[in-house]
Amino acid sequence: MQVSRRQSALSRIDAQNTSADVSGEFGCWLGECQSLQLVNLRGDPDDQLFQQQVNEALGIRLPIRPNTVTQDGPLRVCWLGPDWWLVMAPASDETLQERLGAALAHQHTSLSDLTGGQTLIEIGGRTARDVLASACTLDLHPTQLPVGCCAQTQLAHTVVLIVPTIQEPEQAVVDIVVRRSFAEHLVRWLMDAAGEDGYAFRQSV
Amino acid sequence: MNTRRRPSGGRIDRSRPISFSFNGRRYLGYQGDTLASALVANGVRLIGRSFKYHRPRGIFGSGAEEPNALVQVGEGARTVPNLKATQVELFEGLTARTINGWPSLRLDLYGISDKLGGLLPAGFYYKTFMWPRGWWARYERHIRKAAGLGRAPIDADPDHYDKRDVHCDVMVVGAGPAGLMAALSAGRSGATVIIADEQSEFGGSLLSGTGTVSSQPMSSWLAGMVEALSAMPEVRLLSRSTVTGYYDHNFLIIDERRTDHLARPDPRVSRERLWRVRAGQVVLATGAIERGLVFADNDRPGVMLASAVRTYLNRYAALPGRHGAVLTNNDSAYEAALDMQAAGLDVTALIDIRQRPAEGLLERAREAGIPVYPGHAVCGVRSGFSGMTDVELCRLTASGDDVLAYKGSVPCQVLAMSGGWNPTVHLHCQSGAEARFDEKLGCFVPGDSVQRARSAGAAKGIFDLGGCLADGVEAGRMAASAAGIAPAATDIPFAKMQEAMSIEPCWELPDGLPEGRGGKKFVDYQNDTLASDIRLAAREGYRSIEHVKRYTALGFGTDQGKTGNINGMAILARELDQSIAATGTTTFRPNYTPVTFGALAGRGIGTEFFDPVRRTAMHTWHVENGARFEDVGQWKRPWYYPLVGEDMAGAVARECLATRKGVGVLDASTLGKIDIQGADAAEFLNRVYTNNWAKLGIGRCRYGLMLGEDGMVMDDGVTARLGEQHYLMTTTTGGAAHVLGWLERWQQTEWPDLKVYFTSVTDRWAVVSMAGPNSRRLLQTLCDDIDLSAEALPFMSCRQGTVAGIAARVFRISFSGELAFEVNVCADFGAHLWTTIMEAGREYGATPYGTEAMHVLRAEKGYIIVGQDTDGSVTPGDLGMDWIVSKDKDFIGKRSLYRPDTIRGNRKQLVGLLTDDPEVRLPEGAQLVNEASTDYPVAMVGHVTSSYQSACLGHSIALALVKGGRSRKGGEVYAQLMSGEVIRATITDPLFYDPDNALQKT
Repeated sequence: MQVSRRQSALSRIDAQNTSADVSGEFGCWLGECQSLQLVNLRGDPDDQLFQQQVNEALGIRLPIRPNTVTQDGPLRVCWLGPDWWLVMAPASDETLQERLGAALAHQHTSLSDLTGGQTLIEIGGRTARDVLASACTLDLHPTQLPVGCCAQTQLAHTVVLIVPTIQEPEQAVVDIVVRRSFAEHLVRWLMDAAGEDGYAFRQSV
Repeated sequence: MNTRRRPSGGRIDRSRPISFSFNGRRYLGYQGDTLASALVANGVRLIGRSFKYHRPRGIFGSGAEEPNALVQVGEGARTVPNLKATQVELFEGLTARTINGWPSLRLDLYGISDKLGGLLPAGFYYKTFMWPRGWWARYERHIRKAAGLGRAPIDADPDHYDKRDVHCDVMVVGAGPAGLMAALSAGRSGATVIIADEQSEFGGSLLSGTGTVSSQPMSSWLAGMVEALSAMPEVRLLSRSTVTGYYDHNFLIIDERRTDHLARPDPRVSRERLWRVRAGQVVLATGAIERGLVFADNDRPGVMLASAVRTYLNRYAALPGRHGAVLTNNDSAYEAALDMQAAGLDVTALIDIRQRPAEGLLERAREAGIPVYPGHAVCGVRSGFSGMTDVELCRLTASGDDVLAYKGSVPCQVLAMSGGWNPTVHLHCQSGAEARFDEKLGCFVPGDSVQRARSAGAAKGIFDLGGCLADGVEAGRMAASAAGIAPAATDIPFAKMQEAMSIEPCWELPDGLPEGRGGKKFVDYQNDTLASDIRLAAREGYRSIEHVKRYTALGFGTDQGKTGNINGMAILARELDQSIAATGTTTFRPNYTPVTFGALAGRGIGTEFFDPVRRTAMHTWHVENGARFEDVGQWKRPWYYPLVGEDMAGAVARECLATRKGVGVLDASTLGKIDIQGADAAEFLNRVYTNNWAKLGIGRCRYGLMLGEDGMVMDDGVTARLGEQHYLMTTTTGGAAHVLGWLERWQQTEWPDLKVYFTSVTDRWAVVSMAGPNSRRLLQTLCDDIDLSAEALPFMSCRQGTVAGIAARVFRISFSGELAFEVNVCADFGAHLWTTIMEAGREYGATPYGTEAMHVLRAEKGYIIVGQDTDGSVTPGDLGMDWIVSKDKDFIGKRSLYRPDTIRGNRKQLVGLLTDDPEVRLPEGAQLVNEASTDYPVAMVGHVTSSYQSACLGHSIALALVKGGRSRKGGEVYAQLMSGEVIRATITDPLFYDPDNALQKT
């Protein structure tokens, strides 16, 4: 068996899968972000030095308000807890973790590389939020979860982080960070839930 | 074809005829019909047999209240039992049959029970079939056959079901006049609104009415209203959607039936969708249900609710008879009489129980040529082969309590009756609020709401259209406002207002005969509960309506007494000489109407989505190489890899031998992995593990046992020190989440001063374990930057390096007793690592092994599995693991290890067992006794926890917990099996292979 060196969490899902609705349309699209590094960061937000050093190493502010996201282009930081963040950055930033590690070396912090252990699934389109509503009890309406916010919840009985990225009803896009071992289950669920109104896979970067 | 169809009118589409079958006969109906309306239009009057007396029954109502017309719809796996024909939408090819009646509907042999009726009073089954003792089971089979309802499908459900969680500012239940206006006014204010109605189209009473709204015909006004609502992006309209339950915190359940009305549903579309609604505010515009009147033989086919007659005439253009009468105690049935007359259904008598109905009503009736009989009642019914032919008329005394004079019979094929209206307070009451009896309206109306809800329109006792429209606007406005949204102005449509509806509550009509002599007076049609049954219950000492319900079956069944309950309660009240308010109602519980199991299960049908399945990065390889899988927690783990023609025992033996003799390869990715960082990490480990962690060097590993506060073993695993303040803890596969929660709990609640952070990295690392004498050589071919020699990388140590070109952590730890290495890489590269190892391992005889071989290998070494060899009542001492319990420091559970019970000598202790016959394997879980005795009860001294056939040792081995076992080595125990077989075994050390533990250190 030929195995490519690197395999995404969704390598077992055939991206050729599609389902059109009765009028031949695709209500939503699904995709997986392939070139991401994920870093788990813990530290004391009341420590000004910690904040300052993280901000310098990352180039953006740590979100301090619960369930919010700060972003600079492809770099995002999600608030997960009062002393807990998830840094999502392009894999191409090879020195990111080194910079963070060096900046925080002498403080009580924790840095863990979670790349490969979690993956980012995108769902977008007209029916994206309806599909998520088949598996998630949170109110995903843009008035309740606008861009700039994130939410940790259960989706299809699986713990996820939900980050809306575009909130216009027709082009809504929601990012879902899920642990690798659950990713296939989650995507198969979403495919099943989306089948009626149609879905297709979209190649992500 | 439709002999009873009006030539025009109604909401049916005459251009779309539909062919369907009922009890094997073909009929024609139209798009827009229900099964009931199509049967009415075809002149079918006999629909079923009653539950207990097997009396012929016809259609009684026109919606959810129907007690009689229960049918089994469809065939095979998709069949649904006990549907109300009044709620089944007609589609091409529909097949339905009656659920009661054996051998056939017309010739029902059980009909004998009607003749024996006097011998079958309330509580008959309780009184009769409970003796002789133990015979109930014999009787039950026959009683069930005689009584039973429809049949559940036997085959697996072929359909799929969906669920949606939705949130809204305002949930409007019911899309009648009040509900529509509430949704409109809330929607116009900018609220997010869900409006749901159980019927196929919105409109409620407007669908069956005649007249105008805002000077438009009702139907065109309704169409405009639905269009206006549909145009609002934040208003969601759900038809065929019953709000079945109202729970705490404004949580409501809607059951949407999506394909049951279609002849050929699209397979992509789910059959039902269960909406789980979290509403800011709720408007209950659930309308009202007419109640019947209780008189002799009031169950004969042809006796119907006046509202149902109107519905069949106006909405479905179907005539339930050629001529008929109206029986009422209130004003509302006059509309029915006028509609009947206008439709050509000749009204032979309008019988009003009231002595003095309003003059205006009388006037209108007379103008229409309808003979009115004030102060009269029906005291009997004459029936022919397929239903009623005449009603017996009588003059009532001034009090209405008795018959003054019999007035002969009036020809009547359909009797439209109205005993008044019951607001549908079901959801209001489900929400936790009370219903209050309104003496003037003669019905229960909603009391104060206890949740963020309000009732509107007929649901709160407003029975005229104009009033309902106005109340709906107000309810929507109030709901939006309460949801924090500034209400917008909404015009109130104009419709005829009525003076307050006049009613003279009447709970039972006299027939002038002593109890038990005249015709049966039915209160609850579906359960065949008679007025006399309720009186009997009262005489026998039942006082609570809840008890009377259970004694007489009043209000049970698929209709839940929607038409008869209040009459029954009132009859009980009179018998007990107390008010109806004091008698009260039975409890209204979800669901309002029955919900299928499929809708409740949603995607949980079958195994694919019932519970998440976790897969490792190497899963595809396992599948492609024939692995059989075992569920461990939510993980799919390879159990064993059978070769062609090989059974499980053969595969496991082969895998074990290959590991002991060459090298075995195991996917160990599922073990829980917790990254621990912080200055106080070592101190924290000291507190949660029984052993000492202060002196563990960087690059070294140590096995740890974790106890609960009770001193019992909770989890175990190896923790490695990766850096100065950096540790990696492994946990059991199933215990990972619990352990992480446990660590967080102690850190956050008890020891917040300890500087330590925990991060789950289970999914981050793919882990390949290589065990066996060839494991070092194999790993050496793939790793050139770590010195793997015993000196440089001794047992229980770890290094970072590169394996197969991938950054890796290599741990020298062993769960098999063999020389072993565990390689951890980023999970993205797990599949690559695994295949590279398997290819490189070919020359070393590398063999993949699964969890079963892993269990055998560890059992040969006496290594425990938490949860298999322990069960929450086992201490480290019980396991013979005192060596790992520190006496010098404190840790969670330590104090409990010194309780009298945990230090007593005869606790169950872990031992090995060897059977006399090496080929005989003890069953796991087998109870152990000291002597092979049949003099029961025999004292049990322990049980087998693990048991395998060891290929390597050539005999079976077992681990067991035996009372005082460690002091009994060399002694014997017996396993007595269910089969009667007795197996003798000798107690040994729980260590069968390489007792010096030399191999793993080589």
